[in-house]
Amino acid sequence: MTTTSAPESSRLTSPAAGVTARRRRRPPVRRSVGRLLRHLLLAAGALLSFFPFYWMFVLSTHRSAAIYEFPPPLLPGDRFRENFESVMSTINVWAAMANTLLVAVTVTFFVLLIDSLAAFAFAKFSFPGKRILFLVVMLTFLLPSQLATIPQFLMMTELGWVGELKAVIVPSLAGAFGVFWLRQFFQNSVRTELIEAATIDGCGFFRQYLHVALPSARPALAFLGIFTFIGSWNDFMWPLIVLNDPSRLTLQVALSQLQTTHGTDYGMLMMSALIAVVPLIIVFIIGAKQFIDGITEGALK
Amino acid sequence: MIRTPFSRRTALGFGAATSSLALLAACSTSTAGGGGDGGATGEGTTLWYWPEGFDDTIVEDIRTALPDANFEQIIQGGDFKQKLQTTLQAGSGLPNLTGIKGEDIAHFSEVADFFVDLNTLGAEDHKGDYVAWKWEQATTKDGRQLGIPIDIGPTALFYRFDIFEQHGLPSTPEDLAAAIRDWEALFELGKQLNKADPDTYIIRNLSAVFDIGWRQSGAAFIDEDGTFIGDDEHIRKAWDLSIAAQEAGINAALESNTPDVAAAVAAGKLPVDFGASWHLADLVVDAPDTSGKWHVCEHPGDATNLGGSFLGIPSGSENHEQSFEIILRLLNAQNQAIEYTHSGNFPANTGAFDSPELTGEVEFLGGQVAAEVFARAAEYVRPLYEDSRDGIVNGPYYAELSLVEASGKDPETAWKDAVSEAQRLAEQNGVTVS
Amino acid sequence: MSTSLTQKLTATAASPASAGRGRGAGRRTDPGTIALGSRRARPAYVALAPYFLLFAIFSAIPIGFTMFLAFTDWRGIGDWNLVGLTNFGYLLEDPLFWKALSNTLILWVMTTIPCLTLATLVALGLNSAVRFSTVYRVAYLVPNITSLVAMGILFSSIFSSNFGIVNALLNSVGLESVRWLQSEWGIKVAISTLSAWSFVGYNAMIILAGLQSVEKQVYEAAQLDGAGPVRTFFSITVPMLRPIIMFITIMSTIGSLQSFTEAQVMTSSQGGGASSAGGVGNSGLTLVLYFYSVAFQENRYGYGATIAWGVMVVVILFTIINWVATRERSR
Repeated sequence: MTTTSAPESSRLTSPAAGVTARRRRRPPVRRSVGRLLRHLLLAAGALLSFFPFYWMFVLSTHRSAAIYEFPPPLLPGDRFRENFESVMSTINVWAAMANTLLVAVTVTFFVLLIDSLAAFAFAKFSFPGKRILFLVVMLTFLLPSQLATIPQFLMMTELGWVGELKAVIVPSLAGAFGVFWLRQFFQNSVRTELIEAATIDGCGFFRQYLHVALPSARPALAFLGIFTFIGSWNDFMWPLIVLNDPSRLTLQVALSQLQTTHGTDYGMLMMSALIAVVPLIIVFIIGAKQFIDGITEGALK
Repeated sequence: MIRTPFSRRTALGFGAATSSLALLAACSTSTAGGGGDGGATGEGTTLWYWPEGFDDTIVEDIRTALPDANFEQIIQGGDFKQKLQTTLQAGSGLPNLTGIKGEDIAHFSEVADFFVDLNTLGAEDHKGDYVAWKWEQATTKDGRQLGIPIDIGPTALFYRFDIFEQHGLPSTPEDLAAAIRDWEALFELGKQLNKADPDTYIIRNLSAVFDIGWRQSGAAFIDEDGTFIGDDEHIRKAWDLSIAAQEAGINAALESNTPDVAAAVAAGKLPVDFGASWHLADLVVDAPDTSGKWHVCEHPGDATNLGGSFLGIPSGSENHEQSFEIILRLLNAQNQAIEYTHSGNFPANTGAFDSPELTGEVEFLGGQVAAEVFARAAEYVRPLYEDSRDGIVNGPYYAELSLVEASGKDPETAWKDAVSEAQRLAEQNGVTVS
Repeated sequence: MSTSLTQKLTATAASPASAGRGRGAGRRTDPGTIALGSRRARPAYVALAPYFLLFAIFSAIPIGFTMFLAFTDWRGIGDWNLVGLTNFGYLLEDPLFWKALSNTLILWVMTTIPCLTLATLVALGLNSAVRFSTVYRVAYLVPNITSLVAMGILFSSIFSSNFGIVNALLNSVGLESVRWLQSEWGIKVAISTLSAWSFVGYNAMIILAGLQSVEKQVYEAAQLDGAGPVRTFFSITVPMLRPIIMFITIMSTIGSLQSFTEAQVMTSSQGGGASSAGGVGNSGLTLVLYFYSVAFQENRYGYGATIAWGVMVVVILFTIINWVATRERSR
């Protein structure tokens, strides 16, 4: 499998070389059988991976009672509209979505900025105290966020931020994962000679960051950006604790109001999950192209 | 304004509006937000409540009666106790009034300073309007009143009378109640049902029996002196009762609040279920198609209380007098009667018992006047001393019962393990273990 | 985390100039970095400042406070008393803590191994398939972008004993239904399936990035030498991927040690506080879930904070093991 991978990816840079390389290797029939098999396996895996998501959609189009039948329904039912309208009339979905978008975009932007600055410093420079500081980053990364919850809430009250979106935004602006991930990337793909050359040209730290580091980190930033956005969009525990104003809820928190102490209407619940994930998939499809291209591009430089 | 009880809910059963009570609950959310948009916390008089909410008409009633208060109901999803407790501790951003769940009242009683002693606002004068044992649940040892009871949860037995009829078992509430005065009789009946249809069970899980069992004994796991009594005879009896249900082969061993229970209820495989009046709401959501096929009657032994909440006033909030006025109005007989039709919560205000809402027939229960059963059950509930650490100390019993039913653990070993683990937890949490 | 790939790619970059400056500053300089003496380091500190400021306020102080609570008997509200090391004594003899620890480790293995294997396979497939690659990538990543809470609820129904799709499948091939969420191993299987499933695509993407950074000349050279696909895989791809695999293993270890949502959502129906947390026999009780149940559900903050200490010690221990293992390998 791997042998064909090199020519194929090389086609991106020099198509002719790739094609000739491949032609030399194997007879065409065997190759296409192999490729078919590979696609079959990939497709089967993709279906399996996608299935729960599909099933979420199926459940969202049924009434609870139909879901409790055995064997379970595998095809969409006829309650899509009813379930959709139930959710929409129960919760101010659009307002919550706007809030969530605001939170996720702000968080993503600042995480990219703050983390890439820190990561660049860690990746390419040595300075007094660096090791200790990086150890601290590692530690934050290692500790479960739940440990900070209660004191954090008390702090938010002190600041008077409870109920406001900034209480969700600000604490998540410094992500240890981003520093960790971008540092790896800068180490791997930003050549130190380039920075040194820039230094000789009289570029300071921040211009090196802006003109050398950032452009080459595009794929890594896209990756981090997408996953920060997704993480922020799906964030649940903390927003649930800190948001309490009905007009300023994020989507996940608003949707949690569908779950009462009484039995659960699965059709409606799954519909709400679907509503929450569709915008993400759209963002993802747009972004995926970016960062997938980016990965390939960056890797072949 | 007279309504047929459960009219909205039964409409759901017909499929006019697809969703559940949650829908009704959250409808009040959006109104509560003062039109949804502008209503920021702290501008008006705020009430924190969990997703269920007081009915829209009640909220409206308060807004009309006390226009200056600018009353808002704010629904807090998630862990309500956690949110309330942390906010109380922080001391700002407090609501003017708040719901307190029955299971949390003992915990908050230990930090009574965080709440206004309602007796200072004249609560004593209204004591007679509410069920006495429920009222006392929110009275601290030194006589402070933390909250006014909203509802009570006297337990009864819901059953599918059509299935009972089909198998030639007593099917009217009177006949069935008379036939199952003791637990053995109920278990015997369960065996007959199970013999007729091997997939049919009458016990959801052992915890459900244990829940009612130990409460019937009149004492919990820690006594008033702070001594552990979980190894006493009264708990052992409740344990044995649960084990008897297991040995009778009538236990479905399904985890509560899971889709599995809902599926079994919907399919008629669990035609019997214990619960308080609010449990009806669960049945309606889980098995809308079985509407009209249920009845409710007394279960074996005395009724016990499950759930039932309170309204209290955080001491750090402002304008306590007005908040108290709102509480009294929210919990007056008329509004509590409406609340019964809204959520199935059975009023703690005895004045509501004779209202048309409570004396109306419930369609889901085959036209039965369910409130009669619950009102009668309420008279038999024995008050329990509740310690805030009961929930910690009794955990092992439930955990071990689930091992008995799920993994076939030997009941005697399970009992010993439960007691020793409970003792360990008791000691760790400052309970005297003799 | 040191990486042989990193070193390979940047070894040439460590120019004499930077090495010289490093020595001049009298301290060790990391390979491939530019040494800044204390005078010229100011911009680097400025760059780090936002991160560390936010970190100090919103992580360090709160976590420090939680850690402090372990020495108290705080119940989440009201006053507290200092109780010294009492809580730590309880922790050592608490069967549930050890149970939670072993569950966490078992779940880590049950999640990481299948997840890593599948992710590698998917990445290899994606690396060579050109057509439909975006479709595939989206399909494989969808699990990771859906909220874990929603997926937990969905997976509870997939593994439901009465109407779950897994049992429907088992029945259709003539096997008996399994009561997944009511049996000790069933719960673990369900939880680790959910965790593995949601991370296969994500890890595959990271491995893919690694695969594509392996320079094509290396493969071509191997092919010219007559190496077959299997030999190429083991003698070139695997060594090249080692840093990436290590990276994912570390991430997955951290993720597993912190795992909470899956277990909480899939077993939360049981009442009864911490004793019943994690389902039948506490078999889905993870360390963080135990912390959560004790602190948040039972209001035992002091003891909850002690469990937090336990979590921290375990996490640090694992990091050291990981770190040592990585160093050994890369030598």
